Amino acid sequence: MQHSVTQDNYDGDATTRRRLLRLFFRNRGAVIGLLVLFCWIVIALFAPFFSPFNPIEIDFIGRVGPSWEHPFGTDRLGRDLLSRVFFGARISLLLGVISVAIGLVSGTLLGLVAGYYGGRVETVIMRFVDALLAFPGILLALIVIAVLGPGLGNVMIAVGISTIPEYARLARSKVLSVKELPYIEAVKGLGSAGGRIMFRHILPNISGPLIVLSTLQVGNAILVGSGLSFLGMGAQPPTPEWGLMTAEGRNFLNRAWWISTFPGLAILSAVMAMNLIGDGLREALDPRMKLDV
Amino acid sequence: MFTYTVRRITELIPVLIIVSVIVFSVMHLLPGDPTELMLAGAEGGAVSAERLEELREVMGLNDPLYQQFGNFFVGAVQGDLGTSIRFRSPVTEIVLDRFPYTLRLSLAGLAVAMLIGVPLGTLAAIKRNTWLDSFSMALSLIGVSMPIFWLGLLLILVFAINLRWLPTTGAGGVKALIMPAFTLGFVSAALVSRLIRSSLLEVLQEDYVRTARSKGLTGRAVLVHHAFKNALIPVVTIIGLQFGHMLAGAVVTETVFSRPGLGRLVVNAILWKDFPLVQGTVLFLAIMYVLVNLIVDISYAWLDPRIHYG
Amino acid sequence: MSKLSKMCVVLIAALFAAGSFAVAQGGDLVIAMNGSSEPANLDSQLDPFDSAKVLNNLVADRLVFINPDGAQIEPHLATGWEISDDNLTWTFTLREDVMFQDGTPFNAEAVKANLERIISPETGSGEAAEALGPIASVDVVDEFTVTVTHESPWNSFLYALATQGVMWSPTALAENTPGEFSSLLIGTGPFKLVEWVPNSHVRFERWDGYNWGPSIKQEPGPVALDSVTVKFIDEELVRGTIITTDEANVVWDLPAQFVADYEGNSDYQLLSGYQAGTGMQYVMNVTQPPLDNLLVRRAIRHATNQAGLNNLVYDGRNLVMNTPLNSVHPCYAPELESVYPYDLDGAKALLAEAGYEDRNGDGIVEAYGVAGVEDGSPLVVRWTALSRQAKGEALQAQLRQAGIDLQLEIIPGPVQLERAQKKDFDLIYERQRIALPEVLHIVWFSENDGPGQWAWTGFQDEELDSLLEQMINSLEPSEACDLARQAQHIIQDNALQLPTLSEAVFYVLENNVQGFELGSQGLWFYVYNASVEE
Repeated sequence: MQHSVTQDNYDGDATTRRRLLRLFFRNRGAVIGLLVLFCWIVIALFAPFFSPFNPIEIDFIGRVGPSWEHPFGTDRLGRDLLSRVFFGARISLLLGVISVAIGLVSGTLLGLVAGYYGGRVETVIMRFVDALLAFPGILLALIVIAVLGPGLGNVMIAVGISTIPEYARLARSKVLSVKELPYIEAVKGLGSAGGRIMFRHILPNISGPLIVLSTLQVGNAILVGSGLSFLGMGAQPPTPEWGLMTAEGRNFLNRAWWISTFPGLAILSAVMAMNLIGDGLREALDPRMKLDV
Repeated sequence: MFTYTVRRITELIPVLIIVSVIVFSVMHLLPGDPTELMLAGAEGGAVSAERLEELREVMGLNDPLYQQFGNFFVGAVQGDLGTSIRFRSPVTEIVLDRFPYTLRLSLAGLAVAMLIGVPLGTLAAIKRNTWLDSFSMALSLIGVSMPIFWLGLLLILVFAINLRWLPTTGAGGVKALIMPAFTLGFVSAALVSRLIRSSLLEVLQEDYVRTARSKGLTGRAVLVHHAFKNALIPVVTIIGLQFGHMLAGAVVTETVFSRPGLGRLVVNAILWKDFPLVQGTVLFLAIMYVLVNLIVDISYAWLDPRIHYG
Repeated sequence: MSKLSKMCVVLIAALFAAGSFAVAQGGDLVIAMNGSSEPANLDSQLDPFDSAKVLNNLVADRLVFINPDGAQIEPHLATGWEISDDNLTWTFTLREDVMFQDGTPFNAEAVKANLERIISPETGSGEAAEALGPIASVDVVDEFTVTVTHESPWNSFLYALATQGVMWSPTALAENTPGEFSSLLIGTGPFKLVEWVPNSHVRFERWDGYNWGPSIKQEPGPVALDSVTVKFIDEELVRGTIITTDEANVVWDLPAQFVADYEGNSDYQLLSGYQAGTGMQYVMNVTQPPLDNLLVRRAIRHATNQAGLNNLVYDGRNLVMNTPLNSVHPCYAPELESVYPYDLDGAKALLAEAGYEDRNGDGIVEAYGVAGVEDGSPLVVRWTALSRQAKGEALQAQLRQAGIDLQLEIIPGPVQLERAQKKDFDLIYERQRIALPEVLHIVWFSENDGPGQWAWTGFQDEELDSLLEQMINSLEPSEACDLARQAQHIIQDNALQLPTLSEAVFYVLENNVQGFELGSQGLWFYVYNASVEE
C-alpha cells in the first residue's frame, strides 16, 4: 500500500501555523465554507433568540405556505418551519460533532495502539476493525440502532461506531510511517513510556489527516443521520432534527414543497460547508494526503 | 501474485468468523420474539402460548445459544444459511433471489458514477481554475451533500410525475433503472470526479509527464498514455469501496423506488428480528464486500507495476 | 379420478369458458398498494397480514363468502352447512363442479387436507389456526360431504372460514414447501399467479377454467379482466400520485392527504371503506402509575380532541370514535359516544383530584401525595406505537394543554409485543380488525394475557370477564352483541383505552375501471365484475 508520509509536525512552530492559515484562507471555497458554518453556529447558539416561534408548538391551522408571519411556512402540524430549522441547527450540528468525536476518539485509540505495539495486539485489533469494516455503508449503524433503539443519542452512538474502522485504519497507517522516524526512535531510546510516546510524540504527528477526515465526517454524519430518519430509525419526534424534518415533509413534496425543502437545503448547505472546509484544510496541510487506506 | 492472493483469502477467514459472531450475538440481544410476530402479525388475532412454543421448537429457537450458533456456523460453511422466520424459505435462496437486483442497481450506479465522474473530473483538471472547473466541483459538492432520499423523490416528482418520461418505481426494464442508478451513483460520481481531478493534477506535475511533454508529445497523448493511467489507480480503490457501499447502502434508494434488493431485505429483517435472515444477509454482504476489496487490491498491483507483492 | 377424466373436465371447462361467455371487455388492472403491507408469504393460511387474504381472493375461493352488502355469510364452495345439536360438529356439503388450477378435483378430501394443514403445528400457521378454533377432527363423509368437529363450541367458525380458510390444491401443497408454494398459489380462483417479485409486484392472469364465482359475481364463467398486477409502493408520495401516470389504474390504501387531489376530478373515482373492529386505539396499562389511577385515565380521555386530530393530520377524513368498538362494527354502542367529551377544564380538575398540580409553572403537572409516585415528579405518559407519528405529535400537543407530558415512542412490531408482555408501557397501540363480538374477548378477557395474546391492560374485573365469557358462548348473534355492549360499558366506564379515530381505507380509481367492488371490510376488494376499458 502507498503511504504518503508527511513529516511536518502540525503542532509545530508559529511560522508553520501561520503558513497553514495563509494557505487555507487563500482557498476561496474554504472561506465560503467557513462563513456558512459560522452562520450556522451562530444560529445554533442563539436559536431561541432568532426564532419567532416555539419549534415544537403545534398550531391547529395545519400546513401553510411561506408568508411574512412564517417565512419558511409551517409543517403538517402547523409548527413554524423557520424556528424548527434554526433549532435544528443545534441538533444536527451536535449530531455531527458528537458522533465524529465518538468515532475519532475510539478509532484513533485503536489505531494508535495497533500501530505502535504491532505484533499480536495489532493482529487482534485490526482483524476486529476489518470485521467492522465488512459491514458496508449504513448497515453497521442500522444494527447498532436495532440494539439500542432509535433516538437522537443512539443515532450519535451508532454513527460514531460506524466510523471507528475508518479512523482506526487511518491512524494505524500513519503511525506506521511515523514510528520509524529518527525522532521517535530517539525518544524511545531515552526510555519514555509507551503511552507517553504515543500521545505526546506520535499523535501530534498524525493529527493532520485525522482532523481533515473528521471535518469531512461531520457532514457525512449529518447525512447518515438523515438516512436513518428516513428509515424511521433516527431521531424521534418532535425533535427538530433536519433529516427527520426533511423525511417527514417528503410525503407533501407535491402540495406543500416547503416542509421538506427548507430543512433539506439546511442539510445541503451545512454539509457543503463542512466539505469545503475539509478540502481547504487538506489542501493547506498536504494536497497529497490520502484518507482512504 | 498467486501467493499474495492466497494469503489475502486466508486472512479473510478470521474476519468472516468475527462478523458472524458479532451479528449472531447482536441479534440475540435484540428485544422481541420473532415467532410471535410471525404468527400473529402486528395487529392480527390471538395466538395461544402452546402454539408459540410449538413453533419455537420446530424452528430450533429453544436450543441453547451455542448450539444455535454452531448449527448456523456449520450450515454457513456448507452454503446453508438457515431458514428465514418470516419468509419460511431458506435464507440462501432468498438472498440469491434478491442479489441480482442489487447487483444490477449497483453496477448501474457504478456506471453512472464513472460516466459522470470521470469526464467531469478530467475536464476540471484540464481546465483548472476556469469556470468549468468551478462548475464541475460545485456540482460534485452538491452530490456529496444531499440526503439521498430527497434527491430520489425530487427525481420522481420531476421526471416521472410531471414530465412522465420515466416510470416512478418498479424493478423491470432499463427505463426503471435510470433514476435509481442516478440516485445511487450521484454521490459516488461526485467522489470520483473530485478524486480524478486531484490525482490528475498531481500526476501532471510528475517528472515523467513533464519529460514526455518536453519530448514534444502533444497534450492529449500525454494525458491518455501517461497521466490517465496513473490517475486511475486511486480511482480503482474508491470504486471498489463505493461498490461495496452500494451493495448495502442501496437501502434508501431501493425503498424510494420500491425495488427489491439486499439492502431492504436486511433492514426489514432487522425490524422483524428475523435473525437467521439478518445473519445470512449480513454474512453474504460481508463476503461480497471483502471479495470486492480483494479484487481491487489485485487490480491495483496490475495497474501499478511499481507495486510488488510477495 | 383417472387422468383421462381429469383431462375431460379440463377440456369441458375450457370449451364452456370459450364458447358461451365470450369476454366482452377485459383489460389489465394495475393496483398500487402500500409496500409496507406486503406479506412475507402470500399464502394466507400462513401469513397473518390482511393483504395476504385479499390477494388470495384473486387465486382462491373459500367454503363460505361474506357478502359485502350486510356482511351475511353465504355459500361459496360449500353449498350449505348444518351444525349439530351440541354445537360441536359442522357438516358441509360441497359444490361438485369445482377443480383446482392444476386439475386436482375439489372435494371433501381437499377440504380435509387444507384444514388439517392449517392446524398442524409443522405448518407454523398462527392466526389462521387460532381462528379456526379447537378442531378435534375433520372427517370425509362422502366425496362432497365433510364434517368438522370442535372440542368445544366455536361460534366464529364460519367467519374464520370466510376470511382465513382459503382452499389450495392438496396436490400442489404436498409437492411443495411453504416457501415454494407462496410463489405458486394454486387454488380454485379466477386468476392464476404468474409471478411474484417480492418488494416489487405480483402479477395474476385470468384462468379460463373458472366457473364458480360467489353470489356477487354477475355473470357465470371466468372473469373479464385479462390480468391483475399489484405493485408494492412504499413511498406515500408515489402512492398518492402514481395514478396520474399510466403505471396504475387503482390505488389501494391512498394516503388521506391525497384524497383532496382527486375529489371533484371527473377523471377519477374515489371509494372509501372502514374496518370494523376496535379502531385505532391505544390501551392503558392499569397495573402501574400513572395509569393505575382511574382519574388520570379519564383526564386523558377528556383532554383528547379527536376532531382536532382528524382535521390536522388527516384533512378530517377519518371517523371520530369514542367507543371500544367502532361505529362500523355490528356491536357498536352509540350511547357511549358522549361519555368523555373534549373538556380541558374537566381534565385538569380530574388531575387535581388525583393529586396532580402544576406548582413549578412549567406547564406539566406534578404529583403531590399520589400513591406510588414520588412527590413532585411530573406526569409523564408514554405513548408506544408502530407508526402514525404525526398523530402522536398532535396528541402530545393536546395533552400538554392539560398538563400531561406525553412521550412518543415509535418501535418495531416485535418490541411492541415484548413491551406488552412485560407490561412495560403506559399507552400502547392495539388495533384489532374483526367484525365479530369476539374481538372484545381477545382484547379484554383478563385471562388472554400471555405470550401471543392481546389482553394487555392488566385490568381485572369479574363482571367484565363473565360477560365476555357468556358472549363468546352465545350462539345468538343479537344476544352476543347485547353482551358485547354491556362489556363495552364497563370498559368505557373504567377508561381503559384511548380511541383515536377509526381510519378509512381510501381507493382512487381511473374512470375506465368498472365493477371494482369493496368488501364488507374496507381493506377487502373484489374484481369478479371488474373490467378496464382500454
